[in-house]
Amino acid sequence: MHALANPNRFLKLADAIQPWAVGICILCFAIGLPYGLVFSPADYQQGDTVRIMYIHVPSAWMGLFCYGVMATGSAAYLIWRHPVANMAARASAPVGAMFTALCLLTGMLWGQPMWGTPWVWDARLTSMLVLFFLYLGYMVLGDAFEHREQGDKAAAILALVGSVNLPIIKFSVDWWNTLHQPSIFSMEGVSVDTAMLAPLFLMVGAFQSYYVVVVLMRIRAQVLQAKVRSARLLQAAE
Amino acid sequence: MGGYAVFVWPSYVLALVGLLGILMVSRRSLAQLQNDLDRLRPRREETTSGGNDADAQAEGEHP
Repeated sequence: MHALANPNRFLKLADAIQPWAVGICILCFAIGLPYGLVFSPADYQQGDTVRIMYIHVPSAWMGLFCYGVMATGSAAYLIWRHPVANMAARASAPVGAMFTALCLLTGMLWGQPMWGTPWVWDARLTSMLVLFFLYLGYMVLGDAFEHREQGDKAAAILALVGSVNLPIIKFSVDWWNTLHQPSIFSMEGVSVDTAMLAPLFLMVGAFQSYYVVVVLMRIRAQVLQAKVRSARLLQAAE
Repeated sequence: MGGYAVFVWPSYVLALVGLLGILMVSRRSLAQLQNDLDRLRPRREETTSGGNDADAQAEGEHP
C-alpha cells in the first residue's frame, strides 16, 4: 500500500485500470438497463415499480461503499500520512453524495405508490439522510480552512466519526420497526428471484465500475492540482 | 409500466442526470487543470534550464 503513496506511481496503475473499468461500465449498462427496464418480470405485489429497485438498491450500496472508502482513506491519511489515500477519500465524497441523493430520491419515488407517502422518519430513511449530510459536511469542512492540510485533517476526523452511521444504516431494518423492506440478503437466503437478481447485479457492476472511472479521474485531477500549485509557487518565487 | 411510468422513468432520468453530471464536471475539471499546467510549463521552461521542477515539487509534497 505504501508503494502507492507516490501519486505518479499510483497514476501509472490507474492508467492500466481505467480502460478496463470503462469497458466493464459500458457493458454492464448496455445489458443491465434493457434487462431491468424491459426483460425482467414485474413483481407480483409491487408491479412495475420494482424496476426502481435496479437504480435504488445499487445507489444505496454505492452510498455506503463510497463512505467506507472515504473512512478507510481518512484513517490511512491520519495514521500513515498516506497522500493518495486522502485523495481517494476526497475524490469519493461527491460521488458518494450523488449516489446517496439518488438513493433517497428514487426511494421517495418508490415509496409514494407503495407506502402512500414519499417519506417517513423511520430509522433506515433518517440514517440514510444523515449519511447524505455527512458527505456534505465532509466536503464543506475539507475546503473551509485556509491551510489545505488543516482541512484534510478535520474532514478525515469527521469521516471517521461519521462511519458509526454505517452499521446503523445496515441493521436499522432489523433493529427497529420500519416501513422499509428488509435486506435482500439474510441468513435465510436471498429474497429476490434470479430473474430480478441478474439485472440488479449488472446495475451494481455498472455503478461500481462507474465509481472506479470517476474516482480515478478525480484523483488524477488532484495530482494535477498539486502540480499546478507547485508550478505557481515556483513561478512566484522567481 | 403498468400505470407506474410516472414513478419509474423519473428514477432512471435522475440516475442519468446524476451519473452524467458528476462525470462531466470531473472531466471538465481535469481538462482545465491540464490546460493550466501546460500553460505554466512553457513559461517555466523559458526561465529554467530544463527539468520539471513543478513535478519534482509536487512529488516532494507526496513522498
